[in-house]
Amino acid sequence: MSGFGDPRVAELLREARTHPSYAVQQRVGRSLAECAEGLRAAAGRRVVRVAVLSSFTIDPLAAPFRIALLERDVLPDLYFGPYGQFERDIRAEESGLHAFAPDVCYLHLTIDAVVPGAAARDLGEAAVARAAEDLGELMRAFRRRSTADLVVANFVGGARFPYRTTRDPEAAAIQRLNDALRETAASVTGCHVLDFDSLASYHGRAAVADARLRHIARMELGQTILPMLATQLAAHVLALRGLGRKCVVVDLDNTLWGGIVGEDGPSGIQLGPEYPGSAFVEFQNDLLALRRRGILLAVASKNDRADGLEVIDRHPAMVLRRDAFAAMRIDWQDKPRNLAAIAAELGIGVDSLVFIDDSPAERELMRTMLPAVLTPEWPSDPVRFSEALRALPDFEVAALTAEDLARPEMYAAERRREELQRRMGSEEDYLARLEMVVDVGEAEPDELPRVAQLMQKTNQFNLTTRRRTLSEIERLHRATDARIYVLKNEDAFGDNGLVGVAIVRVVGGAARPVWEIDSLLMSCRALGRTIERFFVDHLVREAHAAGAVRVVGEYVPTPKNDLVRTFYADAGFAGEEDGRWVVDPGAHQARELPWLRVRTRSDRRQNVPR
Amino acid sequence: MSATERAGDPIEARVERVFREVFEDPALVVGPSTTAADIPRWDSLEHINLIMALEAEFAVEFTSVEVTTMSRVGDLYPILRGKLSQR
Repeated sequence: MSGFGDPRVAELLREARTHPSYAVQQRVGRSLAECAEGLRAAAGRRVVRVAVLSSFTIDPLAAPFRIALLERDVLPDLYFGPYGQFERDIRAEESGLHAFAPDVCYLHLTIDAVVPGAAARDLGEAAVARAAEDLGELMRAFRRRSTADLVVANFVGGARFPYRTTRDPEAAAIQRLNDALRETAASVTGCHVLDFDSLASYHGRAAVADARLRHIARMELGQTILPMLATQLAAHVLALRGLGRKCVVVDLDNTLWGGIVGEDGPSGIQLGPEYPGSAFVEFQNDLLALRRRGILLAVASKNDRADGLEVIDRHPAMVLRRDAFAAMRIDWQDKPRNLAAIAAELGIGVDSLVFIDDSPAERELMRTMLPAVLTPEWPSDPVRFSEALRALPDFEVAALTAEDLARPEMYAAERRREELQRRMGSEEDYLARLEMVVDVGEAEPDELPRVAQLMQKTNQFNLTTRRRTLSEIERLHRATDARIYVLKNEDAFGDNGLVGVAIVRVVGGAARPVWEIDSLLMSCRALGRTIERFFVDHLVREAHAAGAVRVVGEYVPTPKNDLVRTFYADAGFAGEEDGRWVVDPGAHQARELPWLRVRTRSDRRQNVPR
Repeated sequence: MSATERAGDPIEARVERVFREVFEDPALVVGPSTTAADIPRWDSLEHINLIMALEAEFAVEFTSVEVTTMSRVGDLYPILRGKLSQR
């Protein structure tokens, strides 16, 4: 959280944090836009191109949105469609929107842009159905010209008159329109709904629009709701680009409970149904809710280990017990060092961590020593802790997959595997005892969201690091000159789910086809057990069966994928220049892997038992 | 400079200070005849930012008519004086 370590940007962000007024945000936003070019080198791949289209003046959204992303070390390149031109921007082949080539496009329309006569609230059944169809057609038109993810805002509902006591049919009509919008979005690839109606309810509809601004400046969104919409849009963008965070590291004293266990003793801390203990219980429940969504929890506390564990294991009001935490560092080491160790232990990047600590000094130290960790401002009053946690947009994913939900259990299983490895004599004994099963074959349509997720997030075992959006992946899936392979893995300790992806392009003529491995990646949870070698051998076998005369692999070096520098060499490919590696599929020697039980897709279709 | 000290300054000086902050130009000079034509960044969006900054500085609220009919800085002084004296 340092604006890429640039002191001017850090200062601007600090100003926006300490003076969160509309005027200051707008000014800071403009200054940040001017600094943007200078940050490009430091940003590396943490850049995202976002286009914003609307049926009203939405330019003021740029400032809070830029601030929200730069606070997370993500550099935004923004395009705002010209006033009143959203249709043209989408439909014209050579519009400003398509020339900009966004990664994500946000479309925010008001109801009167979609339903003629909406101002007079003529929202009958037919008008709603027509509006839903028109929106669907607009989304499909977008999809025909762009592979970017599309995020569409829904419509603010509720009764026109706040104190109305009878049912409002117009409100019901907007509800139906929102339902229809959700269905339509689900039918277009890579199209997502931003639930603006829900955001408006959460913050109060009065916060949405300022009548004065609406009429004078055609600004449908007022100064109260703008930063909140910016955060919501940031949540979508972070999720779609795999820039969310996977693990929350919390302090113990005065963070998970009131008081200091080392001084007050385990029965002297505040945790339970009475104030202020009740605030800490609610906060722990919110952390547990995150864990149920697949976010890992960890502890970093300066305490005697026995004191901390005494409360965690035995305090009657403690919600988070030892097994809720994927890692714990309860000692007297400095916290930046402990967080780096936690990240290494969990096999995730430091930039996947969020750090929550009641001490402003610890927070400031973390921001200085480990700026890649997200260290949010934290309220001093415990009753505000839950709100502050819920206000973080960093835990969202594009599509909650089974792998996400099972992640905490997967980490527990991994610890058990490591224990087994320590106990076993030889590597081969260990591998045999794992009883690994690999399920490999061409991707099914319902697996494509997980494929997209892996392509966005995987950095280390990734040969070419091409980040493909779900829409691009769907295109490749349908193409006749490309194949998408997936690999799933389970063993005696648990099911790791879908862990490997390969995208192959078939080039050359039908007589002498060549298979080019455009992408090959694996989740780190499946590494080091010969599965990766199995995967590449399988691809070569498939190439041979399809009559290919050559298989070409590519290695594109990045700061994070040095791990795979010699992967193709080790697999028996011959190196050419430019990071290309080739092999003759007819002559390739696959490695003997007797400890792997292989299930191919055709086996599954014939119901071969496990 | 504290809020109390600022409040003691003449209206013209406080207005000029707000303009300097909004347009980020510490050397900006505004007078009764200054209009949008004199300040290149003063477009319709900046006008809204300016209005909100003035309302925050003087703790007043402009009517929609005042916001849309205001074109010279000189229009501001009597409006502000009127609102401040009503308190």
